[in-house]
Amino acid sequence: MEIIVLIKQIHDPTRLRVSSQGRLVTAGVPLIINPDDLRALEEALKLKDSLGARVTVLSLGPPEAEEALREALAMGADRAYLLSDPAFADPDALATTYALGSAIHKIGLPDLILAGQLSGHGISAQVGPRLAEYLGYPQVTNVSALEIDNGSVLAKRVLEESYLEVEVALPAVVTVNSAANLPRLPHGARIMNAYQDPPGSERFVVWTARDLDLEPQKVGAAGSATQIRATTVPEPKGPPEMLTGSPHEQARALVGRLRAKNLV
Amino acid sequence: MDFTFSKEHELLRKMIREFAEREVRPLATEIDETERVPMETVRKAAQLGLMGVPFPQEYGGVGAGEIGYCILMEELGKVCTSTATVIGAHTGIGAMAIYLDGTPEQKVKYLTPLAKGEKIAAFALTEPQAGSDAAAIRTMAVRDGDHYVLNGNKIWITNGDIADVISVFAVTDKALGARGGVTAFIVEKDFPGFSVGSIEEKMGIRGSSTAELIFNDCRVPKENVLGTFGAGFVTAMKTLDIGRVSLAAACLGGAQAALEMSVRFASQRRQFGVPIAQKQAIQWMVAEMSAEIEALRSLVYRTAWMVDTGRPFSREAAICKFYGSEVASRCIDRAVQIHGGMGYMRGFSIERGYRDARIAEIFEGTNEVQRIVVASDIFRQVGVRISP
Ligand SMILES: Cc1cc2nc3c(=O)[nH]c(=O)nc-3n(C[C@H](O)[C@H](O)[C@H](O)COP(=O)(O)OP(=O)(O)OC[C@H]3O[C@@H](n4cnc5c(N)ncnc54)[C@H](O)[C@@H]3O)c2cc1C
Ligand SMILES: Cc1cc2nc3c(=O)[nH]c(=O)nc-3n(C[C@H](O)[C@H](O)[C@H](O)COP(=O)(O)OP(=O)(O)OC[C@H]3O[C@@H](n4cnc5c(N)ncnc54)[C@H](O)[C@@H]3O)c2cc1C
Repeated sequence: MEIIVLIKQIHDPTRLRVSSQGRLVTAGVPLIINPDDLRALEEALKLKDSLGARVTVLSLGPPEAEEALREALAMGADRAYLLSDPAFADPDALATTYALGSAIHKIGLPDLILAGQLSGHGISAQVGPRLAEYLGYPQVTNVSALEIDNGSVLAKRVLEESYLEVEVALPAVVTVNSAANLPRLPHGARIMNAYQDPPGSERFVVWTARDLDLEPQKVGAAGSATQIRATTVPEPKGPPEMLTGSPHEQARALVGRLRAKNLV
Repeated sequence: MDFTFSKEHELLRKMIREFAEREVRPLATEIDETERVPMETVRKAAQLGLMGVPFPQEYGGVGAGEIGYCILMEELGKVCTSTATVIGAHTGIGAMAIYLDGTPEQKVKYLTPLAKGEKIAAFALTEPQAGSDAAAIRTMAVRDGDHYVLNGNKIWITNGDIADVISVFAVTDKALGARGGVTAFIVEKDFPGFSVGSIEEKMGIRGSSTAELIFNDCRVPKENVLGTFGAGFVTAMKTLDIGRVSLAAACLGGAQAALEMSVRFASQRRQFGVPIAQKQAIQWMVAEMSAEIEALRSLVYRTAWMVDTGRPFSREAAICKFYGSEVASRCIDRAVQIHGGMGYMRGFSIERGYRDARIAEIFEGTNEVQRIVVASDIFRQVGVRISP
C-alpha cells in the first residue's frame, strides 16, 4: 500500500505572541510539525507496522521545512518530498492544494492520503478536502481512528456529541484530528540516520515550481484567492480574579462562580 | 569555532526531552518513595535506544557518541536523578567497559543486548577496604582449567541487583597489584557462585539500587576476561574517565532544573507586596546559578567533543566531575533557599533534588580524588610527581 502523509511545519502555537501592532511574533519561536499531522503520520506508521506500506511524507514550505520531514523520516517514514520555491510563498489553501496535488500526480497516485484535520497556523481545515476534490478522491474528515479492511477505510468521525463510523473505498483522503493517537517518539538510531540522504537524493526529493511545471499565477500569494487583511487579538474580558484560601475553599469558590454563570 | 549541536543531536534532545516528560517526570516522586525505577520505564527507554546512546549502531546502539550521551544524561538529570543513575551506571560504566576493551566477539555477545536494553549492566570495583584506593581490592581470580574462579565481595554497586551482566575487577597477581595484577571479567548473573547480598538504604538517588555482590567460587569462563589479562586497572580507569563526563552532564541537568524552578517560584511568590524576584538577594543567587551553569555546559560539551574526536580528555573529565557536581550542589542549595520553607517539604522536587545531588561529589571517584588527578596532571608537566 502506498500512503502519502501531508506534513506542514508551523511555529509552535503555544509559543507565539502578538505584538502591540497586532502582528504575530515568530522570531525565536521553534518550528514544529503541525500536531494533527503528527497524528496523521502515526496512523500511517501504524498501518505500515500492521499491513506493510510505503509511507511518503510531503510538505510545501520554506527550506527549513526540511527539519519537519527529517523528523518524519526518523519516526518511520520511508521517503520525503519537499516543495520549496520562493514562488510558493504565502499561499492560501487553494494555492497550497494546487502545488500539493500536482506533486502527488508526479509522485504517483497513492492508495491513501492522510492529512491533519487542521493546522495550528491557518486553521482553515481546507487543504485535505480541497485536495480530495482536486484529485477526485473521496474524503473523510475529522477522523479519530481508522482501519483498512479489504480495500476500504473504516473511519471514526468525531461529531459534536457522537461518533460517525464511515466506510469508504480506497483510494481516499482522510484528515486526522488531535484525538487520534499519541504519536510515537522516534528511535535514537533512526534520528541519527535521518539526515543520511542529502536533499535532492532519492529518499529526500526537493522540487521547485519548475520541476512541477506549475503555472506561476496559480502558486504562492499570486495563486491565492484569499488575502489576510489584518490579524487581531480578542480583547481580554477584564482582569482575572484570583481565588484565595485552601484548595478546598478555592474549589468551592470556583464552582460557585461557574454555577452563577450557568456554566455547570 | 562553532558551538552549535548537529541537527541529529538537536532532534535527539527533543525526543529525549519528550520521553523524560512523558515517561519519567510523572513517576519521579514515586521512584524516590518506592526506591525503584520501574522496569517498565527502562523497557520504554530501551525501545527508543536510550540504553545504548553512545555505542555504534553495529552493536545495537544509537551511534550518537559522547555528545549524544551527555544530552541524554542532561535531560534525565533535569527530571529524575535516580533514572539517570540507573541508565548511567548501565551505559556509562557497566557497558562502557565492554565497549572500550571488549573483543569483537564480546561486543556481539554482551554489548549488543546491553545497548538494546535487553539486558542491564553494572560496574563492580569498590570493596569495603577499597574505595578511593581502588588498587586495594582483594577479590581474587584464580585460573582453573578453562575458567577463572572469583572469590570476594563488592559493595555499593549501582544496578547490582538488577544487572544481567557485570564488569568485575579482581586481583590475578597480588604481587603486581594495580600494575599488571588486576584483571577485568565479564560476569553474568547466572554464573555459579554469584549472588547479590544486602541492598543499601540511601539519602538520595533512592530509586537507583546500590547492592553488595558476593563471589563465592564464582566460575567465569576464560573467554570472559575483559581486555588484556592483568590490565584491568587500566580498563577501570579508562571507563571511569569517560563516565565522569556524562555524570557531569546529569549534574548540569539537575542544576538547570534547580534554576528554572527557582526563577518560576521567585516570579510568583510575593512577599512585602512584590514578587521575591524583585529582591536583590534572590537576583544574585539566580545570576550566580546561571553563570555556573553556563560555564559547566561549555565544559561538559567541549569535553564530550574531545571524547568524540579522539583527543585526550582525562584532565577535563576530572574537572567536569568535581566542578559539575559542586555546581549542581550549589545550585540546588540556592534553590532550596529561594523556595524558603517550600524547598524543605517532602514530595516536592526541590527537596528530592537536594538529597539526590549530594552523591555526585562522592561516587565515580570522590571530588578530592578528582582534584588530585587534575593537580598531578598539571604538576607532571613541570616534572613533579604526585601520589594520591
Ligand atoms: C493568520 C495567518 C497567517 C498566515 N501566515 C502565513 C505566512 O506567513 N506564510 C505562509 O506561507 N502562509 C501563511 N498563511 C497561509 C497558510 O499557510 C495557509 O492557510 C495554508 O497554506 C493553508 O492551509 P492551512 O494552514 O489553513 O491548512 P489546513 O487546511 O488547516 O490544514 C489541514 C492539513 O493540510 C495539510 N497541509 C496544509 N498546508 C500544508 C503544506 N504547506 N504542506 C503540506 N501539507 C499541508 C496538513 O496536513 C494540515 O494539517 C497564513 C494564514 C493565516 C490564517
Ligand atoms: C550510591 C553509591 C553508588 C555507587 N556505585 C558504585 C558502582 O556502581 N560501582 C563501584 O565500583 N562503586 C560504586 N560506589 C562506590 C564509590 O565509587 C565510592 O564510594 C567512592 O569511590 C569513594 O570511596 P569510599 O566511599 O570508600 O570513600 P573513601 O575512599 O574512604 O574516602 C573517604 C574520604 O576520604 C577522602 N580521601 C580518600 N583518599 C584521599 C586522598 N588520597 N586524598 C584526599 N582525600 C582522600 C575522600 O575524598 C573522602 O572524602 C558507589 C557508592 C555510592 C555511595
